[in-house]
Amino acid sequence: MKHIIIILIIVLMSLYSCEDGLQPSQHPGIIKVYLSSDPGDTTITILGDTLRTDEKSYFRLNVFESKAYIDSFYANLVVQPEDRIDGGNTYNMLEKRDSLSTYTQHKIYECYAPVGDYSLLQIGMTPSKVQIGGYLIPVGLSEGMSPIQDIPIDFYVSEFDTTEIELQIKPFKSIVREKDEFVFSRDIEIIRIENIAEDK
Amino acid sequence: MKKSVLISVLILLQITYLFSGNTGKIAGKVTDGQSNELLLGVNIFIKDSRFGAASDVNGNYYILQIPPGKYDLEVDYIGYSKVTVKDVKVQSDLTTIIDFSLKPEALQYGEVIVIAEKKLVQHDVTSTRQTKSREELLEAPGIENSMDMFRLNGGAVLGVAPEPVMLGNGQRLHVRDESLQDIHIRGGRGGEVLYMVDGAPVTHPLYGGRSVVDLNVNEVDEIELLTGGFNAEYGQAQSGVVNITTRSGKKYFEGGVEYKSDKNIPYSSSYNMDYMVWHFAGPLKIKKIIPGELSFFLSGNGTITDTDHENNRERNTLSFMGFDIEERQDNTQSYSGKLDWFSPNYGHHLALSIHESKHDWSRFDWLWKDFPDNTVNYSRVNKHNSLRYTRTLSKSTFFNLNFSYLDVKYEESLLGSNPGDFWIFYKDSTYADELSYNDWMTTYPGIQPYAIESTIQPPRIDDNTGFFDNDGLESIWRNDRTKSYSFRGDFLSQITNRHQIKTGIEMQSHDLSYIDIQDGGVSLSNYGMWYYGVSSFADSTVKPPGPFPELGQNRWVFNVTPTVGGVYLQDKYERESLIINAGVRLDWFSLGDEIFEQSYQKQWTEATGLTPDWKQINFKFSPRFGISFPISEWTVIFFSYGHFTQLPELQYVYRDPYSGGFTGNPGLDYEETVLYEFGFTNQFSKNWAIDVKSYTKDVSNQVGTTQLRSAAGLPVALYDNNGYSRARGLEFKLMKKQDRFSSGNIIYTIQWANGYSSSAFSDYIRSLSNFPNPIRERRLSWDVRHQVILQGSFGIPANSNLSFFGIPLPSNWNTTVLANFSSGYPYTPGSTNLIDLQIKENTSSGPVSFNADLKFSKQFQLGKVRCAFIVDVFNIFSVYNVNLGYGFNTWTGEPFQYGDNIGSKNEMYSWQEMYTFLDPRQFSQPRYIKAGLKIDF
Repeated sequence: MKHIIIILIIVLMSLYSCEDGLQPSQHPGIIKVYLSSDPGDTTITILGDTLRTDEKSYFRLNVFESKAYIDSFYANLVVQPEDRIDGGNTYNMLEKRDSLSTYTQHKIYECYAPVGDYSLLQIGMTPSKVQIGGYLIPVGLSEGMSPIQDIPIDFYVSEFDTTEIELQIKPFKSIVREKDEFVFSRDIEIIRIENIAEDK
Repeated sequence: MKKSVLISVLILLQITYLFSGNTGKIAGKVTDGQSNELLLGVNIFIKDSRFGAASDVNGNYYILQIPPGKYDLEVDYIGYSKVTVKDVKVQSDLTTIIDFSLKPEALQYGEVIVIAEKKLVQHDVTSTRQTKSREELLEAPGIENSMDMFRLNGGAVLGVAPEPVMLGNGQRLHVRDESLQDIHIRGGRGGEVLYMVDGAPVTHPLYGGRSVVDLNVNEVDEIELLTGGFNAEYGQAQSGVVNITTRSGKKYFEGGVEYKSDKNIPYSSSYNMDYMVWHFAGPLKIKKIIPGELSFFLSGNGTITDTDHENNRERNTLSFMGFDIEERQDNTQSYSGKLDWFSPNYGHHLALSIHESKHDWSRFDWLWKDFPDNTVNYSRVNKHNSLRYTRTLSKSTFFNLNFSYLDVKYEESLLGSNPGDFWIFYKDSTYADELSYNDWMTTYPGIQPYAIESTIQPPRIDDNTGFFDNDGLESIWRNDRTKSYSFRGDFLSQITNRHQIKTGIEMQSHDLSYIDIQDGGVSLSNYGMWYYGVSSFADSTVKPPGPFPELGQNRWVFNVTPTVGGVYLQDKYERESLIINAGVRLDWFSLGDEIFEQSYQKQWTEATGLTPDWKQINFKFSPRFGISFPISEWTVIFFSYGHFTQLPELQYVYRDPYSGGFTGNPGLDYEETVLYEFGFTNQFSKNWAIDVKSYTKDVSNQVGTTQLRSAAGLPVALYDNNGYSRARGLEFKLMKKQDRFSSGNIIYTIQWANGYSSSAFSDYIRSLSNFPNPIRERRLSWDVRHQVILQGSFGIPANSNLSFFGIPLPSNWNTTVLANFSSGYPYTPGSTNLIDLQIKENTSSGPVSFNADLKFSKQFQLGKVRCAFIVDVFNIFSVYNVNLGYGFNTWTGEPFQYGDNIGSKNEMYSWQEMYTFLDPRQFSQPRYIKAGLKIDF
C-alpha cells in the first residue's frame, strides 16, 4: 500500500503543479466621473463690463466619447451603466445647485470598467455657447485643437468597488478671446479620486 | 452469378450457424504433480455451476461459454487430492489458463485450496482491450452509467460542445440529439463506436456509433472496451467496441438499494441532485411448470438534477420511480428486467431482457438566461428488448441466436407545441375569425386564406443586453421515431485444441422516421408560400414530405426502411507461444425502396444537378488479423492489422432534398479505417507490469459536404465522402495488481490526430466565410496531445487489525482516486484575416486541464445486511478547467475576462459585450460532493 500511496501523491502533486491557474474573470468595478465648475470662478469681464452669473446664465458644454486607459488599452466610458455607447450629453456648467451659489456637480460618466491600474482619462469636450449678463457668446476650441482632452491621472479600479473621480473646470477663466472669437482652453483640475468599497 | 453465390452463402450461414453472447473460456493442462505425467479423464468443473470438462489424452481441457466473472474451479480425481482454485477470472472472448498439478493422496492429505493468481499479462490478447467488472467500476469515483467507463481509459477524448452549425436565419442547427456525447477514441471522430448489450447492437440508428441505451453500472456484470484491432465479429465501428454483459439472477436471492444526494454537504456545490438505484434478483422456483432453471433480475435507477448550470425554467410535475415529484432540469430513469432459463441438461439457454429508459431535459443556454422558458425542451424514450437463445451442441460447439428490438423516440419542442400551433389563419378582411392551422386545413383545404400570421417572433438578440429578448421563441420541432429489428446469430466451435472457429451473421432492419423542422413556427416553406398565396414561384409547388409541409424553411423529413447486415468468419489459433486471431467480414447496406421513387429522385436531381445512380445494395469487405507472441509467462507482444468499415450516420444519407441546405446523399460509401497496432506487456515483478501500445490509423471516405446550387438557385450542401484523417499514438500503462490493500494504474497517452476536417459540417461552416476547401491536413478538434490518467485504490479490508504507531486503524473501507491530466484542445487563433484563419485552423492549443476525483466507501454489517456509506468527491482541488466550447477568447488563448480587447484593437470590450461572452460553462464545475448509503442483502 505504501508504494501506491507514495506514487499516487507524487503523481497527483506533479499533475496539480501543471495546472495553469486560470480563474474566472474578476468582476468589473465602477468608474464615476463628475464634472463641476470652480465655485470661485463666477465672473467674466467683457468689453470692460464685469458680468456675474445669475439664474439665466448658462455655459453649454458637450461631453462625449470618454476613454480610460490601462497602458495603451482603453475602456470606453458611458453615461449610465446600462448604456452600450456614449451618445454624448450637453451640460450647463453654470447651473447652480439648489439655488445655492455653488455650481452643480454633473455626473458625466458612470460605467463598469475592468479591474486595473489606469493612467489616463480621455474626455471629449466641445463648448458651444455661454450666456451671461445678456451676452450670448459662441465659444469654440482653438483651431487645430482636438476635442478629445487627455487627462493624465492615476487611479485603480477594484472588483465590485466604485472609483469616483471629480474634475473641475474654471468656466470663465478658461474662456479667452482669440482673434474674433472666444475659445475654451479646457483647464481641468482633478479634485478628488476616491475608492469606495462595495456596500456588502 | 456472383450475386447468387453470395446470397446462397448468406442463406446457408443464416440457417446453419448462428449465435452471440459474451462468454469466455478456461483451458489448461492436468498433470501428475509427482511424475509430471499427463492425466486423462480428469474432471474439472466450476463450482456451483453447470460448467465442466474432462481432460483429454494429452491432459488438456477447456470449458467454453462461461459468462464473465470470478469462479471457483475444482478438480477431483481418484487417487489424488481434491484441488480448488478460487477466484478464477473469466473475461469475454479471452482464455484463462489454469493448469493443475495433482498431488497423489498418499503425499497430500485433504483438499488443496489455492487462490488463482491475478495475472497482469493476458497471452491471447492480440489488440487493445480493457475489461472492467462491475465491482471494479463501482470502486471508481462517479462511475454510475456504463458510458462513464471511458473516463478510466486512455486515448478517449470527450467532445467539448455541440457543433456550431449556424443556419441562414442565425439559429444554431441542432445536428442530432445533443445528449449523445461525442467520444473520440484514438483520434477518431465521435460516433465511431459499436455499443453492444449481450450481443445485440444498441447504437443509434440515425446518428451512427453513439449509444442510446442508458445502462446503469449496477445492471452490468462486465464492460469490455476494445480500442484496437477488434475481431471480425464486430462491424459498424471504426474506433472501438463497447461490449456490455448484463447481470442475470443467481441461484440465491439478492437485492440492494443505493441512494446518493448532493444536498447540504459542506465544501461542495449543490445541484439539487438525487440518485437512486435498486435491484432485486434470484431464482424462480417453478420447476413443476417450467422444467430447468429459471432466474430473474430486476433493476431500476434514476437521477434527477438541476445540473451544474441551472437554467431556471418553470418546472412541472414528473412521475419518477412511481412518485410524483417536481421535475428537475435533467431527469433520467430506467428500468430493466431479465429472465434466464436453462433447460434441465443445460443444452438450451433462453435469455429475455427488457430495458426501458426515459430522459427528459432542457438545456442551459447562456444567451437565453433571461427567458429560458422560450427555449425548447427535450425528451428521449428508449426501449430495448432482446431474446437470446443459446444451444449447446457439444462441449466444444454452441450457437446463439439473438433477436432484439430497439425503439428510440426523440422529441424536441416548445413544451409540446408543433409548428401548426403557432399560426393563425384569417378568412377575410374583417379578421373576425381566427382559425388554427388544423381548423383551416380541415375546413378550407386548398383555399388561400386572406391572411396568415405567426403568433410568435423568431429568436432575436436584444441590442441593449446582447441576450435573447422575451419576444422571440424557439419553435424547433423534432419528432423522431426509429425502430430497429435486429437479428444476430453466432456459431462457435472449438474444432481442435488449437483452433476455435467463430462465424455469424447479423441483420438490422430499420424503420426511420425523422422529422426536423427548425423554424416551422415563424416561417413558411416555399411550398407554403405558394400554397397560401404569398408567392407565385412555380418551383414552390413541390410539396416537401412530412407533416406541416407549408411550414418551415429549414426542414428535413424522411421516412425510410434501410437494412444493414454483415457476415463474418474468424479463427482463433492458440499455442503456448503463438496466438492468432484472423478473420474476414462482409458488410452490406440496402438503402430501402423509398428513395428510389421517381418523385424523390427527380427532386434530388433538381437539388443537386447530379444523377441519382445509387446502388440498391452496397457491400464492403474487411480483413482483420492479430497475432500475439507470449515470449515468456510474464511477457507478451502482439501486432494487429485490420480494415474497419462503418456506414455514415444515416441522417447524412437520407436528409431530404426538398428544402435546400443540407441534403442527404444515398450514394455515400462506407467510411473506412485501416489500423496497425503493436503492443508489448511485461510483468516485471510480482505485482507490477508495464504495457506499451503504439498505433496508426488511416481513415478515408469521411463525410463532409460539397457546396452546390440547386436548379432553383438555392444553396445546397450535399453530403459527400470527401474527408480523410489519420491518427497515431503511443500508450503507456503502468499497472499495480490488486493485493490486500491497494491497486492502481497510470496511463500516459501521446497522440497526433490530423485530417481534412473535424466534422461532416466543417465544409459548410467554411463555406459561410467563403473559405476554400483545405488542401492539407490540420489538427482535428480533439487532438489532445498528452493525456495522463491515474487511478489508485487503497483501503483496509475487514478484520485486518492494522495499527499505525500503535493506534488501531479502522477496517473495511476503501478509497479510490481517479485523476486526469490532459494538454489543451486545439483552437484557431483569432485573426481578422480570413486567409490567416484558414491557414491557422487548430494550430494553437488551449489551456491544460487537471481533474482529480475521489471515492470513499466504508462498509459495515447490520445482521445479514451489508451496508456502505459512500462519498464521491469530484474535482477535489476545485481546479478551474477551461472548456473551449464556451466563452473562450481565441485572441488571448484564455477564457474571456473583463479587460480583454476586441480582437487586435486596443479597445476593451464593454462590460455588456463581455457579459454575453462570460458563459458560466467556460469552466468546469468546482468541487462537488455526493454522499449516500448503499444496502445489499
